[in-house]
Amino acid sequence: MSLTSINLWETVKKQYFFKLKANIDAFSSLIGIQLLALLFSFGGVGSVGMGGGNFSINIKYYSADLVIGFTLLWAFVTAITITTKPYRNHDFTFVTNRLSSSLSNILFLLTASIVGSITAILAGNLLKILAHILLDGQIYSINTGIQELVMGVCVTIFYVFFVTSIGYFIGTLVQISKLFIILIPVLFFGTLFLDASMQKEPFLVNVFTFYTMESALSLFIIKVIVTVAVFFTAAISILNRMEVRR
Amino acid sequence: MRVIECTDLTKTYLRKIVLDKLSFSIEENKITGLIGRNGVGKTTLLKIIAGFIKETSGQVKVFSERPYNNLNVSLNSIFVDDQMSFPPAIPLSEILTVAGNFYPNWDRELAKRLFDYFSFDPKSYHNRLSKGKTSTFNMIIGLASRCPLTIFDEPTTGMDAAVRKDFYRALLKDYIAYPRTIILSSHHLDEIEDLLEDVLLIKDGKKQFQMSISELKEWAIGLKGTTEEVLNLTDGKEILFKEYFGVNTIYAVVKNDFSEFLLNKARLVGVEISSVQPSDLCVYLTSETKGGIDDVFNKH
Amino acid sequence: MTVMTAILPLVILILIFGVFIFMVRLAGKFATPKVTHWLLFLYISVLLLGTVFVPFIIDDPMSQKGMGKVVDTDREFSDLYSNLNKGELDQIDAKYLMKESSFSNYQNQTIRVESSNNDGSQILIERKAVNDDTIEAFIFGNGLIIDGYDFSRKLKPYHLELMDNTLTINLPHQQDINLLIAKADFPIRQFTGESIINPSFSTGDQVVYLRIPNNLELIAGDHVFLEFIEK
Repeated sequence: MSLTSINLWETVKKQYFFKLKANIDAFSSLIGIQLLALLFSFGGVGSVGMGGGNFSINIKYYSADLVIGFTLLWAFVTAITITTKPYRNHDFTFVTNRLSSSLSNILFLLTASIVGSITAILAGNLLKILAHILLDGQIYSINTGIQELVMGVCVTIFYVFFVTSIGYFIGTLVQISKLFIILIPVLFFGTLFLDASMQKEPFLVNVFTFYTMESALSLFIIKVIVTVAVFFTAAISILNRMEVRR
Repeated sequence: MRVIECTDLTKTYLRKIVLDKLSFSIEENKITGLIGRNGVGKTTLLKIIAGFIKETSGQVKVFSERPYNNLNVSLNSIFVDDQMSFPPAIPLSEILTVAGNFYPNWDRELAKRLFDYFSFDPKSYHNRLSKGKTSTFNMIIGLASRCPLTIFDEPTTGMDAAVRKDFYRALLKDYIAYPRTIILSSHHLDEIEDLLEDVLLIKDGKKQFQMSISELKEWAIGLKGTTEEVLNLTDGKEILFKEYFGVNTIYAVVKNDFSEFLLNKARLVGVEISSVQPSDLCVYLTSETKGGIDDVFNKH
Repeated sequence: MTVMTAILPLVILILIFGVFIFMVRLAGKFATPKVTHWLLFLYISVLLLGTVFVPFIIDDPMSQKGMGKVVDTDREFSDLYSNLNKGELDQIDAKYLMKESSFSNYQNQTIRVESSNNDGSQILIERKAVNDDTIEAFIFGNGLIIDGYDFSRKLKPYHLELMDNTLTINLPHQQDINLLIAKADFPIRQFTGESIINPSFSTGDQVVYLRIPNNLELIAGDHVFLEFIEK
């Protein structure tokens, strides 16, 4: 039998389509989680009340914020899941090496981020319709431009993909040693409480605002891309040394 | 061409040495049987060859390249065992399609026909199959992929006798039509004797020997007769196995380096000469215990 | 609009079904359809339809009478009150005028002004130069500005009732206003600088402004405080 050769990119492509089929259930859980978020958003994602004398005002705000939040959670969990042993082993049943395995994972996570973001933002529209029909109230909207919709989807994709890179990295750490399952939450909450008790603003809050308070779009994009690259590269180099027990 | 070449291959886990300076090579387009007791390192060796595990020291070359993390080796080889994992979300028929996408030599027709022959349901899922059905399905993937290096590690686990027979027959037929390098690790050497061309015997992580099946069949000789005569004949030789019958009869297995003349003399004295089946021989050669199981039940 | 709401559910169902079947046929070539695929297509169809129908149900306050965003509410309020106190009603933006009415043929020499508002509403009186037996009444409200948009039309103005020689200012019954406002999602807000809750409220106060004939004498009832405008 004569030997054939293959390059990395072809392998990644084949694996990517393979993973779309293999992980289709991730998308059904996406739907479930977004529907749940819609349910919780029903009373408004924020509300303000005011009253005085014989007059009171109650305002309920509606947006896709809660759905986006739940979608971030889903993305995080999905990213961790595909680093676990069973999922890594699936690749080795067929043609792979560790680099192609991770690259196709990243492509899959990107796809998941895109699908999750688009559905999340569109779910915001669904929320408005449901609120209109079921709460029987007129909905007032401030800005519904196409440009803002597109920008909203793009920025959300960045956020969701960012979260997947964190999840993938953490999942990889856990694969090195189960100790990380305890270590990471301990570190996370530990720094939070420690800094808070010293009346210092917690380190993690600073990290959080570093991204969420960035009001210049191009800077935000650069920050996210660099961070994502760091996390994924670290994860890939760790996974590259790992044996596959099968 | 040497498809596999191992030089002083060593693998240690924590402090246990599983493979100890193992050196051998496997030529192209041969069926080699990998034989040895449980836990002797067969699976470890095969996983290193397949690129799943790294060697601790020494050198492994598959298709003249190091197999670990190697795309070309992965493309041209396949590792079939009962732990072969498939995504639970993909139905069986689609798994065949997926395999066809990955392996360039995949024979869709053969896979489909085998699939139907063994009565698989295209819509069922891999994780719901019984043990025997799992092994059968994995075997189909291994055969239809027609990889230049096909490794079967205990492929018949859970299969009933009829299916095992079918498997060996299918393997042989396809191998003859489309030759490739096959490594078959199995406990049922007696069943696959007719299939194998070479045998590689592993004991204590080291290579015991590697020889063709025909050589193996002639390698040892069984002598049965009176204790005195047999012990006389085997004086100075290593007795690989002995068993007592009645009061004064013994059956002993030794390496066959007797001349025809000596053998005839033995026959005249009443010693029965028999050939030793490769599977039995391998058992004797790899036994770790002194004596047999009967000694456990004998009172001291 | 009512015809629309009647057939809307039916149209939605048919459209969903149609898109749904189409997508399933398309994907059947890619992979064997499972429950998950059906679910996905259904969900996406519903979302797309939702997006299509959303513009129909949204009420954009910006398109109301061409009213734009009120940027500086504080300054506008102070302008309003200073104009009121100076009696320069023409200077006041029409959106603050809630109701205008006049009581003509008022023959009496005096008038009693009562209010059902125990807190004391603000009542401004301007004496006209003439005696035309007509009392003009203007009700000004400082509007209802939420998130910078004008919802003043939601507020019910005070009700003025003239019986015999008593002018009663009636407050409307308890007014509960419930609003549903759609906000941008946080990825968008991050860059437009909005915050989720923008309490740029107004208090919903109303001012009664009366233009009375020159000679009319006013008697203030309990809890009524009359302010006279010096023009």
